[in-house]
Amino acid sequence: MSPDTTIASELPPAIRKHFPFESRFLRVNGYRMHYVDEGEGDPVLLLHGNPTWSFLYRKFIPPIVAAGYRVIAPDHIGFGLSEKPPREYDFSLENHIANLAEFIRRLGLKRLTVVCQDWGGPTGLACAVLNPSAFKAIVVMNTWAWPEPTAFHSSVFPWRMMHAPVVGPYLFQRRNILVERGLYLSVVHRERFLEEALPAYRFVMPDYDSRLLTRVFPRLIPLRPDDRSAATMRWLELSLRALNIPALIVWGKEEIVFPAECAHRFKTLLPHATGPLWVTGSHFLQEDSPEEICGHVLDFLQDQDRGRKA
Amino acid sequence: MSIEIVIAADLRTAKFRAVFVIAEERLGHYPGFREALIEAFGLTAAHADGGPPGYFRAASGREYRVVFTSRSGERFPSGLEIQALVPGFDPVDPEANDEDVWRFLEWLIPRVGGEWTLEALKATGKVYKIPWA
Repeated sequence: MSPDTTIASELPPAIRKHFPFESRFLRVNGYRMHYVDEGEGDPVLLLHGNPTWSFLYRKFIPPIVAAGYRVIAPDHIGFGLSEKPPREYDFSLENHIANLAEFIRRLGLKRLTVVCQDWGGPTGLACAVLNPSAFKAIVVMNTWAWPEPTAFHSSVFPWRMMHAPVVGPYLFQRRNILVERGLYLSVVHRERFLEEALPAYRFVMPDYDSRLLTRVFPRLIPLRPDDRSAATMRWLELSLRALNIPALIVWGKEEIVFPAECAHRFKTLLPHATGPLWVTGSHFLQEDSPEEICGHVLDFLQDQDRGRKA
Repeated sequence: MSIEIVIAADLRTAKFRAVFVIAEERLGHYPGFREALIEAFGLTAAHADGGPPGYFRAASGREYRVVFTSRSGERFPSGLEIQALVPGFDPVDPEANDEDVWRFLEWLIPRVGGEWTLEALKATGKVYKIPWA
């Protein structure tokens, strides 16, 4: 048994019963990347953000596969069952984009639809911009693709204080606040989340080092024009304006991290997009309304497929 | 505030071993934090070249070492490690260390000043259920 297989098989039965998919691994840019790859048909790439992993999409996978698509759900390097580099300097927006682009290239994905939320947005949308001919459609949910921060990200309380120097390692890594509390505060159906999902998010971040990316990602959100990721985010926004790929915007009605104006800004960036369609959901809307969102995604994909055949 | 900066000669913890608590690699992410630490620990350029670490004693009496690190291309200190000084082979009490480091944060934030307030730290701690906030 390879070490990679051993890691996947260590998921306890209580988590496996909600995530009964085969774990696969691919070495990407030198890192071990975990992903789920189920079904056959045009591929649908499901991209998570901070601090989740492919488990977030567990309820998306069966219906999308049943509708005749191949579903691929990777864990970003640093999260889930993927390798977790131990150094802050290993992580940058550009490295995450490059890792995902290489993952897509290595799997040879074509006619791809990307469904993205939180950091899945800047990474997945950048891949669409880098190689638009490989993409069939994009679905954006509770994310952003520009250098200007939201009010939430600009405020000292609680966001900037959480990841401030010295405070960040203490809160995110020593106390694991994003998993232990932040997720709970960012879903609508909290009791269901505690019972069904929290153990899975907690399981993959059992110790200080495994939680590093939870505090690094917040520092990669640009607040000022000269911040680390700002130039890439400017490039992404400008490039998206020229991206003429069918798009769907789905947004959580209770979302406060990327509030409603972000959905409207995507509509301005992608005027041809369907939506915004509003669903019950806080930041982690996949936990709140998976069936409703899947319905919207499948309606949209089937519209695209019908349009192409007509 | 219940944090006392001490020098090595004044440490009460004899024959200690150092146990990792937290590490910060980017003190300059918000530069005010680096400036506050430079002032509080009296750091100079000499500290970047084999100088002594800093030490503090919490109100609990437990003592900690603050190792300042440097990185090419960045001002000193670029980062730090906080290590608990544990006597001999005594066991570690991580919750006690966490309370002490929270008190260290409460001591540090007003020294950073400006928009970084103790009220904001405590409010953040309360939202995220830090027991000592």
